[in-house]
Amino acid sequence: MTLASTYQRFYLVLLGILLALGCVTYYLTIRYVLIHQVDNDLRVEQQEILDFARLHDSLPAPSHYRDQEMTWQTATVAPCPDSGSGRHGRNFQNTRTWNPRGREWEPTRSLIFPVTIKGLRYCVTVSKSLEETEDLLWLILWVTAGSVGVLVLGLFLGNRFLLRRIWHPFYATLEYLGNFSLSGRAVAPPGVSRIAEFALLSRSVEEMTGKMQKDYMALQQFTDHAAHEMQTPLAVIKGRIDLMMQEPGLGSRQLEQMQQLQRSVSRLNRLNQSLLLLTRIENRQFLEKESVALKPIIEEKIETMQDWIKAQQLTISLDLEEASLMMHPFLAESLVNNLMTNAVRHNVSGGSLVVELGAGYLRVANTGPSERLDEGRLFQRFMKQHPSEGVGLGLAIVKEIADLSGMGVSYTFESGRHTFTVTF
Amino acid sequence: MKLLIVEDEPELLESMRAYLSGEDYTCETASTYREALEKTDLYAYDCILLDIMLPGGDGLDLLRELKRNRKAEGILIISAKNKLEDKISGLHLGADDYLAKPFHLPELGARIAAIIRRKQFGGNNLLEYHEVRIDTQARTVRVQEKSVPLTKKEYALLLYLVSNRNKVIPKSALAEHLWGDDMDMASNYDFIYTHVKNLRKKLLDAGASDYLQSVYGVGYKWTDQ
Repeated sequence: MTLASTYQRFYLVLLGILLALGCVTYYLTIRYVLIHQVDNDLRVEQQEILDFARLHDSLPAPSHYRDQEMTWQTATVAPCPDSGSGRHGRNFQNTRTWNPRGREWEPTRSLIFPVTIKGLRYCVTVSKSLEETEDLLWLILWVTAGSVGVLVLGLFLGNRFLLRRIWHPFYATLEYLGNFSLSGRAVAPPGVSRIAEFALLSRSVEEMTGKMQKDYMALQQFTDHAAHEMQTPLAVIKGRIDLMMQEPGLGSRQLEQMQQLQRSVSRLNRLNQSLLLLTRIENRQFLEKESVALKPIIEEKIETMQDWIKAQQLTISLDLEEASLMMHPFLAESLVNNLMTNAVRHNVSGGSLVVELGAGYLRVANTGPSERLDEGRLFQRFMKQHPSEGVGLGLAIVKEIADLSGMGVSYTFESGRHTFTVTF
Repeated sequence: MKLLIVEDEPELLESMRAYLSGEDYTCETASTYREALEKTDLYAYDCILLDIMLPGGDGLDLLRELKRNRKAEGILIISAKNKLEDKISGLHLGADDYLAKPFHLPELGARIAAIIRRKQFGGNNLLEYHEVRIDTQARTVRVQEKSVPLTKKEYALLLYLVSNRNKVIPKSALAEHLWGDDMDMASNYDFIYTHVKNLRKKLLDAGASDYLQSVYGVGYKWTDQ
């Protein structure tokens, strides 16, 4: 639900409840006032009849004038309440009487009171039709309801307009955030709003995104510099050893030691590369994605590993369908490389290697050490469970790449086969 | 053949210069962006080795400058960053090859030789070493007109060794050249031994002299001495 509709929904419900309560109260109040007016009229009439009775010692003839009527009966025929039972007591009655002119039953207000004439008790009823009162009441109600309706509609439309206008900077900020990319070019930030809160929001967002981009750049520079600072001395050592090996008159002992040094430098380099790769993945420096076909990468890797495959007499079984996924091409290569190098490196002589690539999964299964690997430590850095030439970062890299690219990676061990499955 | 080495790390610069100077190449060096710019303005080189992280400017800018001035030199980018983006943008800007630090000097030698071969003969050339003739276009090898069928790996080995003639090539350099950096396993050296043995046998069978010397089991040397 959008902000505007949430706001309007609440507003409408509240208005509905308030209006309903208001209408009822209003109706009751107006009705009370109008009935009170009628009661006063009836009481004036009562007074006139009482005065007449006192003066003439008889009752006026029953009359019917316009909407007002007076009748009387002896109290023995109809029961008559005492006159002293209060102003608003049961002397007043609401009834319906037949109006022969209007040919309908009309609501009527009656005042019944006793009069004693020459020792005889009479019961006098003065009544007044409430038809006009009711009409007036309804007229007032309709006019009021009409104006309230216009008011509500006006408010509703006004609010809508206001919401769109006032909240515009907010939506502009939202759009800016939506288009924001860490590594991308800076998009123009939303303009400054006249509304203090939105201006603050827009300013804060701008500052925050600016800082994020700066931090991101700094991190990128850091890895670049770290790479440079570490790779350069390694390059010096490697070059110097190569150069030293050209010296005439070296014995086998010196040459062998130099070779050992070279291997250590290579190892250090691989370690450094792997750590840098992990850092870059963590710093989200591989956000560009493109469609990468995995099949050729796997086939090329198999080709590179032919010597090892032959030497270990591995049975290779490939079931590769065309599958491509959206990710950084370097990461795709790294993922395949690490999984397959492991599968060969930890294999046993005469073992097997199965690679399956299908829609949504890549599975690499290999024979190897006969016990299950500890899954909890498998993807942790430097957690080598068997001695090998690897630096112990391969599976950590696989995991990081999978996490970054929204893929799942799982390990199973069944009938001597270690299986890694990447689902995408 | 004239080379210009642009590198800000003096130790590495010196190693590269020492390794490459000899029969085939004369080397000049530059250690800053300015110096490199001045030298490329004044002289012509067959190949420029360009470090892209330089004091005073980006090596890629220098590359742009060279390409704008339509210099015909071969350019080999050397970078410590080993970032795919740099590699792509470098090659896109017209560099001939890209080499990540740290590298083996023989690898550098082989890359430079390949660039110069492509530049000089328009990619269609013969690399000759006495009776051994390598057609780098067709990727075939002949010994005195007799064709020597080589596997991919053997061919790569031969080209690498001939490009670094008279130098000791450690096995680790050969391994990196053949399989790349991430296939470092103890068995590498056995495979190299096998490939070298086969290559040597094929060449000898075809009637070539034995130019392939083993150096105490740690490396090989291609030489006629």
